[in-house]
Amino acid sequence: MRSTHYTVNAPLNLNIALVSDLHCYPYKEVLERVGEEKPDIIAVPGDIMENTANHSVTAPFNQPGFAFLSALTAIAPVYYSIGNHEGGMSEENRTLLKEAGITLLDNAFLHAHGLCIGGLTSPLPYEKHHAEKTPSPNLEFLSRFANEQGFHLLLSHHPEHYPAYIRSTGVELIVSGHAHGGQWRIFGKDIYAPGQGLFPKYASGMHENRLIVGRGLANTVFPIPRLGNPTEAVFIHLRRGES
Amino acid sequence: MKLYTAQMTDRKQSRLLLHKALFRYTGIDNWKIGTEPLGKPFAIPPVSSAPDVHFSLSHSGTFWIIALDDHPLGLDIQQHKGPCTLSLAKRYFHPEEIAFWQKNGEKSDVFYDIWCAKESYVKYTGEGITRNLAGFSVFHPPVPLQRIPFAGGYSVYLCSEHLPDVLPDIGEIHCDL
Repeated sequence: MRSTHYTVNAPLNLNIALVSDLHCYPYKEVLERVGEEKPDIIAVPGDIMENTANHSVTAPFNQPGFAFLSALTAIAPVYYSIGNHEGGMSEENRTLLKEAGITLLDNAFLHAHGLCIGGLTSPLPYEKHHAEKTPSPNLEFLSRFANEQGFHLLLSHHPEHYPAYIRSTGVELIVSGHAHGGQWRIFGKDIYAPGQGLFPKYASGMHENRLIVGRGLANTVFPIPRLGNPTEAVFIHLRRGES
Repeated sequence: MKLYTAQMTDRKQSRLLLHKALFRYTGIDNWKIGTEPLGKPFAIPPVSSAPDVHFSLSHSGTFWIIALDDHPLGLDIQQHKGPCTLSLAKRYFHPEEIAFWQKNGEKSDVFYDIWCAKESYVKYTGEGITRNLAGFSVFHPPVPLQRIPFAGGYSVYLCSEHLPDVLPDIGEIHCDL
């Protein structure tokens, strides 16, 4: 399991753990690693569970993800956004998440920890979660969020939403889950980096100093999650720069 | 997992280099080398206490390279030399790979990278070129692939279910004559 650290300039000091795309991979090691790092908050941009539209978070294929999120709340406040595997989250599930102390941000934001934290919901409903092209997210919410005061942290499951919709806004920091369809299609064009070959490393998973993609597999092929792909825990350190 | 490379001036050095690498990796000498039905070589422990070792070796240009591990693996090295034509691509590449190569201006380094990545997988399975190369895509490989940074003008790809988190350094071995 990898640990990757990034430092980002911000008006405040804060440590953020980024975890995504567990797909119910064994999480004990991730929990330990996150616990050791003692982050101030934990950001989970989706795809922790399998199908929360039609099934309870306690269903066998969701339960490990739910247990993982619940365990994370013991380490630091958990902010969770909806990925395509969670599209159409049911009301009962929302209640269960709230009772477990997990803050779900479903096209919603709040001001906390000196930040404006938002969650941009995946536009893919669960049945369509293998769509060829990701449809657009809720742009009205995105615009409202971007216009809020403060340093913005946006949980947005789909990294491909960044060049298409988010880059042009004032959102300072975006954390995303993995790129469905392969990193090489992330920006709608095939990227071949000569020194890095077919599977380019996205500047250590950080792009344009704003987008941090979880599970950046740096020089590795982007396999289907169930092929036992190594999990990555990312730690982002917001640091006040010299003025 | 360990990787070793050597400068090879004569193909006959390959067997000697393999023995040197096995000795470096295990501390044990006198390995016998068997061959699988489709030609993939494997190491036969010389004594019962010797560990199970898997290896894959490759050479191109002046470089010989080997990867050794406790688990099966495939390794290929490809010098950026030789034809990279559309007809070769159509014959050996998966449609997804052809599309990628074309979108990247049909550049030769892309071609060699795809080729090398494909080779590493068929060396993992032991099928080599008996496998229908166009039937799988390196962008959705059956077994994970990893590019290994190496000298300029060469592609090196590793195929394994147990890719290390941190790429090992590549040691050097020499053929003393």
